[in-house]
Amino acid sequence: MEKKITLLINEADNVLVACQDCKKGQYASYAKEDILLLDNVDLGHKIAIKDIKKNEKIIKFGTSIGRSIKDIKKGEHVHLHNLKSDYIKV
Amino acid sequence: MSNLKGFLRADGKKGIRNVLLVCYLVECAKFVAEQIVKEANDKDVQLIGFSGCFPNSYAFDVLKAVCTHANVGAVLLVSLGCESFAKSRLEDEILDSKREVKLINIQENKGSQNSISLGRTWVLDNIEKLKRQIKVPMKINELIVGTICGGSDGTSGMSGNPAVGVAFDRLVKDKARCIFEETGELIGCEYFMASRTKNKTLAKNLITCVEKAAKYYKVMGYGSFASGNASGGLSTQEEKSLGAYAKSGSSKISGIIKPAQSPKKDGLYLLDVVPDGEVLWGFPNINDNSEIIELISCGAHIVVFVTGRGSVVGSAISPILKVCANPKTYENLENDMDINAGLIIKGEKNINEVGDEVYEKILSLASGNSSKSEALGHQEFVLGYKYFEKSKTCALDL
Repeated sequence: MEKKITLLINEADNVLVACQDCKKGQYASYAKEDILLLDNVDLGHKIAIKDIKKNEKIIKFGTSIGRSIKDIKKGEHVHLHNLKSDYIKV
Repeated sequence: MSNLKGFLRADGKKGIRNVLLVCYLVECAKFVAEQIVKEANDKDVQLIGFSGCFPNSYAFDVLKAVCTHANVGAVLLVSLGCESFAKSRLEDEILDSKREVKLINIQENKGSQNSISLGRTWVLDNIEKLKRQIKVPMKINELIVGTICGGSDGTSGMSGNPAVGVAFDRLVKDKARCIFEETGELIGCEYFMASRTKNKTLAKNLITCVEKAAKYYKVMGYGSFASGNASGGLSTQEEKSLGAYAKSGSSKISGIIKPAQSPKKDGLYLLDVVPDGEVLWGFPNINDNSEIIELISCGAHIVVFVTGRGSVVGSAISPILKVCANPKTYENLENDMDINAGLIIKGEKNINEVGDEVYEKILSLASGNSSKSEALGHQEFVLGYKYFEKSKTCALDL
């Protein structure tokens, strides 16, 4: 199986960040485990580290970066299609 | 532990460099000042100055702060003569700090040639004195360290900024004074920042401070979140700002300071760089060096600079420690970079390991070793016009 380097920035995070362009079917590898990728994920993009329910907080840098707008499976790409901001613009 | 050594100043502060500044007080005096520096041909004789002829209290405060900075041992002021800058007041302030100072007025000294010659004699005399000064032991808790990011890319928030955050956490634990800045890049994480302070007034002021930045940049025609951010993998405003914020680490925020204000005690401080009042002054900071000088005006002995695309700048007065977030950029610009945080992206090191490397490098610079930009001779200095309300004192969490 082909492993791709990914990064868990903070222990509390529920997403990894891809350090390389990754393809569906490859494995996202970080310190703790290898996760089967369900989508293509480019460098700098996020991957769910576990199943995330709709309306759950997405945690990166140890804190919330927004909320899931649908259920997200472990290994899925996390981005604009399944995550929305909680921030209210000034 | 460390074996830091510093130059003791009359006010008890210690510097990690012993710089002689040649400071022009209007663009019209720059050439003369520049010639004096060139002829001295010594890395510790450095050129700084202010171009404008109209008076500005912010510019005065910043020049006063940098001319009496712990890394500075003596100052030559070069004035044309008729500019509005309060030159005698600045000279008095430097004198009061017990530093050697001389003011050369070009109009009263027979013009360029004679002023250069007078300046050269004074500089050569005083740089010799500074070189004879003996260093005294210094502790980490006497250090002030700033951080900024510039020439950022998608890797900055992944590797460089979190690694610097680790170093900042260690410094705060050591009771050093740490400063982060650029409120314009923190739009979206103000509530998270506010949650990291125990003082309600400070929490409120942190939010107000970021709101001021958001409004200012909006008037200037720039939002914070661009479409390029999304293609790079950033999904939300808060995600982008948290990436920038990561370089401040995870310590509690102790207070907000403004340019030329030094943190009064140990802890982590936010530097508010966006002018108060109406949007009159153009962009808050026209480039990275203008941000660096503001950090130095707050006393920073060292500024840690995270870059992804690859900035090569250094600074006058204080060494710049460059942390390169992107492994490809590091390969390309290795001679300009002090730390390769790109190894995190390559999976060869983790964030904590690189953070420890940044921390050790800070102590090494404070022990007298040179950073890459310093050794190359980078001594950039930028200072423009701004306005800050003096009555709006910073909310220090005392």
